[in-house]
Amino acid sequence: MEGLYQEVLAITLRTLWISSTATILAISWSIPLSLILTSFKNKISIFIQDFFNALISLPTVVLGLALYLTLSKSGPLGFLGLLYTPLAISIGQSILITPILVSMITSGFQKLRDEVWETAITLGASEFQASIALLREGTLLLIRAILAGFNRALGELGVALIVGGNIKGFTRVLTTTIALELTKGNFELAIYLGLILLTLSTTITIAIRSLGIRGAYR
Amino acid sequence: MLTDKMITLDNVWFSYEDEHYVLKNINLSISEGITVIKGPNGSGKTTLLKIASLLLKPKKGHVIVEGTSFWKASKSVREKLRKKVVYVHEKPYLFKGTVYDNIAYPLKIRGYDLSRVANVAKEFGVEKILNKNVNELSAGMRQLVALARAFVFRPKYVFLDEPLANLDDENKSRVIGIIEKYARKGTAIVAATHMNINFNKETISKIAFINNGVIVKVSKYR
Amino acid sequence: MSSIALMIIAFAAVLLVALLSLAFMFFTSEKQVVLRVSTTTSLYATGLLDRLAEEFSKEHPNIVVQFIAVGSGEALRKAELGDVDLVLVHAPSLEREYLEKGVIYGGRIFAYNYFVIVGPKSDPANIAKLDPVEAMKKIYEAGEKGYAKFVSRGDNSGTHIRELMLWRKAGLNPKGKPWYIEIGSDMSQTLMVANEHSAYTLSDIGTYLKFSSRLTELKVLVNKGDILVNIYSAYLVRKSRNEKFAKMFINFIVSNKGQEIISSYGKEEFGRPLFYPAKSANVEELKQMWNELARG
Repeated sequence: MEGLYQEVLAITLRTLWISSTATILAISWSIPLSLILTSFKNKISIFIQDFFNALISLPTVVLGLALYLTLSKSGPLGFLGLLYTPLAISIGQSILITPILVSMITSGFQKLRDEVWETAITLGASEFQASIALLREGTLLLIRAILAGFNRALGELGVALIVGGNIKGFTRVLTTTIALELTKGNFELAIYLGLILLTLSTTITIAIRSLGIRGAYR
Repeated sequence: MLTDKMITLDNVWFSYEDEHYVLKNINLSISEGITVIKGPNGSGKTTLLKIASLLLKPKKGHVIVEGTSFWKASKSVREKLRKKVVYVHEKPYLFKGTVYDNIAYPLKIRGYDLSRVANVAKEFGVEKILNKNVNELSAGMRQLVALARAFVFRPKYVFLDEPLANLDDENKSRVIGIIEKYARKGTAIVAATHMNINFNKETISKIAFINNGVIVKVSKYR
Repeated sequence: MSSIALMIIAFAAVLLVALLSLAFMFFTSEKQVVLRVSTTTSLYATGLLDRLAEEFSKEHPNIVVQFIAVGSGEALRKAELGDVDLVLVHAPSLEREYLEKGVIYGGRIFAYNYFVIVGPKSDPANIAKLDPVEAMKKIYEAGEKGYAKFVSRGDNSGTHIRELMLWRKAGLNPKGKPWYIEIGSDMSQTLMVANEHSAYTLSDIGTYLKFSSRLTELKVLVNKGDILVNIYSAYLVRKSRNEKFAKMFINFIVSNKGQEIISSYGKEEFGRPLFYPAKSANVEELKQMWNELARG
């Protein structure tokens, strides 16, 4: 059974790698976007916020399919040759978790905004410096949002399956393996993998939260 | 009294989100010395202070800072003027970290030398808790730290919203003394309060009474 | 606006990640040819394909074979979109469609086995050992009378298409009947549902054998008849740029070595092989059967 353990290990590491990349990508545009949304209190920004809130429930298969058609050789971005690669899954997952990140960060920052922003500005901060202050004061809620996004990416199936192809040794992740083992009738293996997935997300959540609590306090 | 070293509110009106006007027809000039804004809760003191300290833009009227109409000026001019002004909230927000971090903040973002922190801390009586984390402080200590933070970079105009809140008698006197000291040195300090504060009459520039968003009376002392 | 500065940093980060990944992919792809093969989940789930790819890689270490397992319809559609280099399927009528469209070509039959009609051990419709079409007629009768049910995959897979053909040949249409359960899912799910309802269903032999220990209510009732033959074919894809390598893989599958692997696969696990290699039958006969099936 040695080969099996090695394979499961490889799949687990791959899953973490893909979902981490997805989370980093998503953070890089979600934070600035959230800051912009927080700083404007008009009707447009409220509409955009509601829009992202609604997108949270986007079914993964729908997103997977849309991305598939885009990245397919017959599609507009086919020339990139991204289909059936781990990067494609990362991209898909990063799009998937963006609404969660934007929603949580924006609503969290709105509470902080008035206090922190005004205080920083009145003490002489430029808008850039005030944004930094806002980010620093909101570290705990940022962490919470990032964790939520990461866990969502970790446990999703539709995007990874459709856009990754569940290719052995290449784009197979925990969720897609569970699905495959299910169709093969290996229920016990499927459940073990499910437990691994759960343990992963729980461990990471606890680890990062305990880091966050030491620094942050309110 | 130099007439170009002042902030003037000219026919200022303000409302939040198209609701009723919280401030109506405010005409007030603030120059060196202590300006007291007196009025009951809900009279518009905080809003007035925020407008005068250049945090809020009036719906109608002008805010003139040392000769320049503030909200009509360019962004860079506004940033420059704002740096001369500070506003301390009624319930001030302290950044996460230590007392030292907070008091040093205005100096750090300006790139100033940090040696002043120790002096100002001593002035306000918080030198012993410089290394304490802010979440361990009592309300009174928080108030003192917020005030120290506001004064450390020697702003020209200081706006204080209920500056003596949460302070015991000893610290109340201390803060009153500090305010008077800076007022004598030429700083314009505006204190909004519902309490009766006994500032030294020589340091007071004027007392404005506000009620229901309108200034009902101004007593000039100088 | 300060956030614009952050946005710029964001784009830089995204760009960096993208460039790094593309560079990584570029460097690793130089050394190897990647052959993408779309196939069906039931075929892939048997494990035969990984086994064939393993042997193939020994002879051709610079070719990486990647399998994407979906439904028959989807597998052929991917060929149409140009996302794969090879298709391994077992749905002759669909294959004919795509052949006529010019999407696929160069088909070779490489294996076959039989679909089976499974049903409750008590066999209320009395179909054991009957001719397949006769069996379907009896199931329909029994269904109408209320003492039998049938579960359909309803997902346009090879199995589903064969099931529909059986109904057609029997001159019957069960769609919409209360005893006809369409679940739109894969073979394993279909069998589980049939087990729950003690119902009849059509299955490929591979999946049934794999699950038989769990299917306590079911047994194989009909397993003979040309119309139940399940023919596996490999096709080249017109839009593929790896024609040369795809041909190599197909040639391997139909070679003596490949056929040997196919003929012995499954013996250990189930006591009997899951497939018959194409070489073991009269190829002309097979082709004829294929044509029959392709006509629907």
